[in-house]
Amino acid sequence: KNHAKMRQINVLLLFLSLFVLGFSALNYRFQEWQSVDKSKVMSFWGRKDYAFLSTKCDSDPKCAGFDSNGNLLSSVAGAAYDQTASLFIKDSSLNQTSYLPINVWPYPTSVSSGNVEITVSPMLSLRTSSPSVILQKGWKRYQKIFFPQNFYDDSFVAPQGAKVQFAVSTLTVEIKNSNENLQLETDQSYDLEISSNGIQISSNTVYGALYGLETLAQLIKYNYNKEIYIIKSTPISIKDSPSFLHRGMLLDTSRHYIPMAQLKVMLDSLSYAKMNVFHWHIVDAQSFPLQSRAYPKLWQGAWNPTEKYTLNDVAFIVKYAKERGIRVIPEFDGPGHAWAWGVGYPELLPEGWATAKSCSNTCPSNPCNVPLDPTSPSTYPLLKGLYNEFKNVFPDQFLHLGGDEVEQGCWSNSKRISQYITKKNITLDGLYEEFVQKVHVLSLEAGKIPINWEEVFRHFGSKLDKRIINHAWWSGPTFIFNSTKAGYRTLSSSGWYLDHWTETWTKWYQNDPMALIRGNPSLEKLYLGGESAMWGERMTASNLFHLVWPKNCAVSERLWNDAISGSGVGKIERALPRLHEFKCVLERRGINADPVYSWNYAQFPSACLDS
Amino acid sequence: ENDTTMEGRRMIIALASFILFANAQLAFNYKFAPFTITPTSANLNIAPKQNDLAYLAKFCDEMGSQCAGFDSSGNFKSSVAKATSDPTGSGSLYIKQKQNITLSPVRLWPLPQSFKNGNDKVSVDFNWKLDTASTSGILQRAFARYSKLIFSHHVDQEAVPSESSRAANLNTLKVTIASADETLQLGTDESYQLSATSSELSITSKTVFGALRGLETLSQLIRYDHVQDSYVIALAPWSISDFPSFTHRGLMIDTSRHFQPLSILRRLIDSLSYAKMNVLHWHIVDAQSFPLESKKYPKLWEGSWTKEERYTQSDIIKIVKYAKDRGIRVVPELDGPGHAYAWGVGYPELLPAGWESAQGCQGDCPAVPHCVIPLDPTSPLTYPLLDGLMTELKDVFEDGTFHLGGDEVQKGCWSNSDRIAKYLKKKNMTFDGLYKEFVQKAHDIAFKNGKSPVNWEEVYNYFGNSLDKRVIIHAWLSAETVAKATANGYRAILSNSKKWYLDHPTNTWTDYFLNDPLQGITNSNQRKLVLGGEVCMWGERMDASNMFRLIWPKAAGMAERTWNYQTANGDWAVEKALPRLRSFRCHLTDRGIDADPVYTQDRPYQPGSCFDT
Repeated sequence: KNHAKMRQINVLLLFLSLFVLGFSALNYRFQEWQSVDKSKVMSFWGRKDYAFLSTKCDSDPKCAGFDSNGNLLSSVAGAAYDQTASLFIKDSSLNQTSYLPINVWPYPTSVSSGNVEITVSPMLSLRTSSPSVILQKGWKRYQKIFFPQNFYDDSFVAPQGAKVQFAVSTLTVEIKNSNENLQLETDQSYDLEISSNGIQISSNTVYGALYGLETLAQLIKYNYNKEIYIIKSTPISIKDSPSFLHRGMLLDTSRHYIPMAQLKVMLDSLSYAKMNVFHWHIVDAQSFPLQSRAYPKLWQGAWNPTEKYTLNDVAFIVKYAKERGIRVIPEFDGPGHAWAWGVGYPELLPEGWATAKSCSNTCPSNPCNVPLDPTSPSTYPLLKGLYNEFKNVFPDQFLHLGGDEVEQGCWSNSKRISQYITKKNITLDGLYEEFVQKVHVLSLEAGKIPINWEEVFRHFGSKLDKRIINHAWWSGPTFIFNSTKAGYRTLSSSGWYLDHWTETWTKWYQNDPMALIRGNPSLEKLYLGGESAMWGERMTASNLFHLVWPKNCAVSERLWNDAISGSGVGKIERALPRLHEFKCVLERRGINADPVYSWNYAQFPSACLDS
Repeated sequence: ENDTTMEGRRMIIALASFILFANAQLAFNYKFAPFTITPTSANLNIAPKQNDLAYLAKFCDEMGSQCAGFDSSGNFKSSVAKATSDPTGSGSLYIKQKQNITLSPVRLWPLPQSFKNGNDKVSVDFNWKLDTASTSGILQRAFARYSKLIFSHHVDQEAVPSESSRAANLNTLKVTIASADETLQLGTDESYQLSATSSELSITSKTVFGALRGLETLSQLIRYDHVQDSYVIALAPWSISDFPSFTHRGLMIDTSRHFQPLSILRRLIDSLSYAKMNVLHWHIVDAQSFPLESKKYPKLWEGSWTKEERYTQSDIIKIVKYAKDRGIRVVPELDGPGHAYAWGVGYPELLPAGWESAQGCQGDCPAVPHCVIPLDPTSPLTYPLLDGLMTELKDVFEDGTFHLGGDEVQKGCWSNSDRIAKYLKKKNMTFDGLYKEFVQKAHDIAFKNGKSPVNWEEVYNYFGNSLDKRVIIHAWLSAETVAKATANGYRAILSNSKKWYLDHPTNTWTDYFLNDPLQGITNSNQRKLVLGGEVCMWGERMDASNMFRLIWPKAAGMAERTWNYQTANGDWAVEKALPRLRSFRCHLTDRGIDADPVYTQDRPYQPGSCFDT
């Protein structure tokens, strides 16, 4: 048998389905493999790869699927009878399901398309009445992405010879509202019309227009034989807006410092997936890289003299993010995770914490969870000063105040604390509550709405100000139900921890934070969206991007298009070719995204679309 | 307990930082030898960190006199005698020794051949100007590039100059280039002199490419002081005179097993220039895919993975220019006769008849069975196509050398072809004769097109001294081939797979650093024939996601070995180089290159500073 040729044919078929027909029969169903005997699966080179396995199964008439040990099964019944319910099944009932007509990630909420291929001129000109600098900068960026063959460094290189008459040479962008304030409620919708008559993007805000440019970028392809840029399946009419307003990623720059160069590329990549919040977990127990002019000694908690962010760096990141439609929400976690605050200001930490009982051991490196001492005369003035110093540096209306994992035992050796709680007749938990309530007031006075990790609501429930936002990370749908039921706006990161690197994108894609509030509009409207979380204990500049991408795409589509994503039958299968394509989009743009089905290493030589 | 540990760590970091910026010295009393430890539950703490000298030193220090070292199982030993009598006999030990050595505070990679420095600090204005009589566009573009890299917290960040930056000592870089000739070829002069005093910042070189190397050195000298908000050169005044030990310092990238997008290739070229490497050996096609455009033979790139995973000739011209802008030659490889399957996708007549069922044609490539099928030298298309391809590519790739591969020829694949059998009979030759005839005809085509062929060592191992003396031999199986070939008057390049193959992820940076291109060669004329080396990034299990992590910082080991041959020689070479390498790794990550921690593959063990991992 000529496997090599077959392989070429398979690549060709996949290619056809993606680019020519945009439609293909789908007769495999994929289910998550949960408990895999790796030694057996190694016979398939360790791949849980839908495309690969379907090739394998197709070539064998006896194959109805694979069980979770990677064993070939000869009947669907046999395949379905797998104790672990982790299966790959050939399923003829799925025959009529089709792929989606265009490859865009995340998938727009409304798409109509035709079957005409048009050409786009690399001299495409922007026509707009908008004076927006953000639009002009975005256009400059996307020109390079639309027409990569025509750029050398930042300069445009005109195509040689006029071989073809280009159908489209104008892009019209219409922006109704010139207000460029970027906040939670900012309108992100856009319409995109593509036909041989031209390309139009219309939006309410410049940020909607940026999303329109991104969608367009994913539709323009280069035809290497004809050396022209084309768009297939036109006329295309897209009306698009996100299901959820808050689609973020947390990045921890405390456990390992992440240089500015990587932060910028990370923001670029978030914008490619239409994510709009960079939750900057900028300080933690291990290091305090952030400059404060008001409290300059805080910076002494940086890992070393170079692993620091200046205020100028931070302002630049906020501006860079805004130009890509991304809000930056900083986190000043407290009272827990505060060790590094005490490097420059030891008086912020509770006396005797080093020998206190139950004051360690929940972080990978200790001591980390030492909380601030709420009775220190320095604590609240410093926090107030810090919030005021940063209220304009970070213009977002929200401020993340953490509030998680408070090791109250660390407070137990301090005489001042014990005197204080005796006097006030409160417990250590009461001290924690008082801290939380006081920083809420300080934050609100600085004009910022606090966000807290879920512990705060779990401890203090409805005693909290109704303006605050609760952020689930541990208890998922149950917490989201309880928090919205109590009337709080709620975010979720449960199930979306990027440092859990062995999880697969399918599990993430099927995660439904709203599982317990669906059908209850008053609760649904309090669910704002979510964030993936890239914690930094074992993440550094070298593995950051491959841990984040393409898995983060699952979150981006879950939160952009609730209807198309999730756990319904066939949803994973339908998303897969688009995800493969988007992984290649990321790669072409210089983002080091992992193969879709294997983290760390590619398993063997392959096309990008196949890996 | 925790407190003191953490404080201790802080102090170490503070000390390390001090070394970076001030003139400090550190006593060093550990001897390092590579470990080969099999992780077990008993040595779990040590085994994964077996190559992390700093970690082990700290671990051993904390045990006080109980610890004299570790054996190769990762068990600590209480005396040097016990540690050295390692029962496993592997001789892989980590021993605490009594000697003190002094670490230099200089953090440059690769280390310049000669330099003098002092104890002062000078500062540089981020709005510096270039003062030069040179009209070189390469220099202008490099100056703009390095201004952004060096002054990264200000240039491009629309920053307002602070008092301290306005008060900088130096606001001009003077560059003097002797020759306006910008030809970049094997042997182009890359030497430079750099001077940094309180009154002058200057680079003098023979060619613009020497000036580029000087700029890179300067960029490693200038550091941002976050607290003062200024850019400073510590340990000034500096006087550096530098040149490479070897003229060929390359990286081979395989774009056939996985396609590499242009954006990734450009970043790779950037990163090579940071380590003063000067060759990108582009293994552009192989059995698995043929992404390269040929205008004369347009069906060749039907062998690409997909229609989008392709390089047009205009893409390649831009890559060659981009590389030249950074002083990097691009040497293309068209491997033959072996590894040719993808050539046959568009032109099946290039492959031998009946190869599918031929005996001894079982390829050893991971995904494509029979992938190493060679071209059929008797096909009437083969030589005209090679000639046509070389003719159209000779100006696209400007380099005077052209890699013709020649490795791993599966001659069994030829055994089913009647035409080949008849040809052999007529010519009275064996398969080896046919292989040799191909090699020589390919050489003739290269010579005709003005190129010096490079071949993988099999060609030399098979045909030895009958080869034209202009052929360059590229050793990958054994370093001994370099000695043999140069003894017989051939020029040679080293890429011995045990040390310099980047797809061997378990090799440590010390393998790269200590590997010696001159091993076994004492004659000085023979030594001159050793052009240098290349690290090879084969693509079977490498794609854009892990490429940079596999390459960096290991490739830096070879970069220094070939730029400054002496630093890896002598006692304590690894220990002395380690802090410089860690600093270089952070230099790479600062510039957006995803370089792994020095002593771990993939994930760091725990939170930590870049300079600590």
